[in-house]
Amino acid sequence: MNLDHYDRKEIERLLRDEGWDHPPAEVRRILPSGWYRAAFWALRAYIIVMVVVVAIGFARGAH
Amino acid sequence: MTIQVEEGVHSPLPSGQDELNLNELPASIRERLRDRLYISRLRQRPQTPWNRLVLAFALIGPGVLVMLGDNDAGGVITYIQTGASYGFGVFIPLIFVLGGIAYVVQEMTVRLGAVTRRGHAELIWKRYGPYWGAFSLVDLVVANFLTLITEFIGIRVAAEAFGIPPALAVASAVAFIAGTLIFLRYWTWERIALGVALVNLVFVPIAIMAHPDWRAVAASFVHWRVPNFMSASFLILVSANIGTTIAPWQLFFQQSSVVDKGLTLKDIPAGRRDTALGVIGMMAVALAIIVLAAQYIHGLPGADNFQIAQVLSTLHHRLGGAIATLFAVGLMEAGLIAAIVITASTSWAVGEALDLPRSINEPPKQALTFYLPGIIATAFAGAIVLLPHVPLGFLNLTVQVVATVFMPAAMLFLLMLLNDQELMGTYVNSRRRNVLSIAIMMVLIICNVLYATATIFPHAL
Repeated sequence: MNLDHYDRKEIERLLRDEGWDHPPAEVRRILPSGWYRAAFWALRAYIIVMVVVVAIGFARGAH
Repeated sequence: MTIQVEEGVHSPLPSGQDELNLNELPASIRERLRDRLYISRLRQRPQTPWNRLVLAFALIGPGVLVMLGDNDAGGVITYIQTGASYGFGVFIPLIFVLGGIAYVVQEMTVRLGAVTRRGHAELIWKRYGPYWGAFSLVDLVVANFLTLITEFIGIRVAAEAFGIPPALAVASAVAFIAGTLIFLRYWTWERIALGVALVNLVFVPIAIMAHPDWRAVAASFVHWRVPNFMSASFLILVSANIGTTIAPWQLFFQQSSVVDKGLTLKDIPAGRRDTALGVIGMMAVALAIIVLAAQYIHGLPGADNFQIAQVLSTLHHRLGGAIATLFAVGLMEAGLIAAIVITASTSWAVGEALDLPRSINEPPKQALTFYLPGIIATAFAGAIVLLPHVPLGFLNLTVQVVATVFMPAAMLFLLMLLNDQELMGTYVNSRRRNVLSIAIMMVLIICNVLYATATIFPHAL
């Protein structure tokens, strides 16, 4: 892919206008707290319960 | 021109240079710039209807692909089972509700991708740590693999209807999927995938040609009767329909696709239109299949347990060879388009989560670690399908139900990310959008809890 065929100024304007001339914003890790923390624990419990339920369901021939 | 850069091999631009040498940019960035230039030039043209149409077509992609890819082989089978089991009632109005849900969910991935310029797997990993990052990735890869098996089963069964040997059909499909992903760059790959996706709409003329009872279709909106609401089979079908309409891979796919296409903030309205168009297509196809099954399969002995070969045979017997052939074409396409997008979804997610190359614009020699996970999973899924006695209906419902089980988890991450002011700035979810999204999540959870109750205590309901 050779960009020489394109107008350099046009490309530079595009880079600038669309923000390709700088990296995307940094994403730093956050430690969930409060409601987020509760939601994560609820999610863990939900997933475990549902996986067990699905296994029991199919083992009993619910399909 | 001075360029700010980020450390690492996946920086958008090379580090340590003040003068921009366009041809020293990474190949993936050069490809994306070329695509963006095309869009930019289309935007600068006079706003004639034709130019606007060309621009709209150029911006179509992730939304249409994800929603028509959603009408996969498993989806076709689920819709057939739905129409065959419950006729015109219940599920036809439900498809409109599911379409609305799909739009609400998928629109969020457009915003998330355009604002952060990062894929879903990458955001979860970086924002919430490796535990949830790995959980999401493993969940996605396993679900994708199981789903791919159902896609190849659809391709195999449809190919058999044309007398094509299963090994040849599956191998050709794998070769096509791998070839387009590896050797084409994003733009061309997307255009070809869109071309394949368009064939998905073949179910609509099939339904029209079959002359269904439109009065019965209309009546389903007026008389919404739900027989055996608490039965396990009904709740499983509800779960399966939800699972086939919104699945975790769709969140990952559309966001990655938006990022790889290079959509920016100003493309968000176009991304929304793209998604809406895809949802309309998805609903039209789903309705067409349910109507067809309700009209011609519902009420037949053992209809609710029909295998796909029996469906084709019934359509052939009742509507003629042409419609059965078209249906087989649609089924093959449904498997193929879903396999195309799911393969890409796996590659993108692995690349994003493990900080590997993550763009279809990457040349294969420099990005084998990006291409291989998706292609290996696809090849294995194809190989499994060639084994004898694969239980299609069971596997299909399992996939859909598993997807439904994990969907609330995926929705939770999506909601948290969409409410993250630091990441989204002014593009965070509105209060109304949050209420809608939480309501959707609650519906998914309630549906799953009902399903759980029905399976564990089948006589209690």
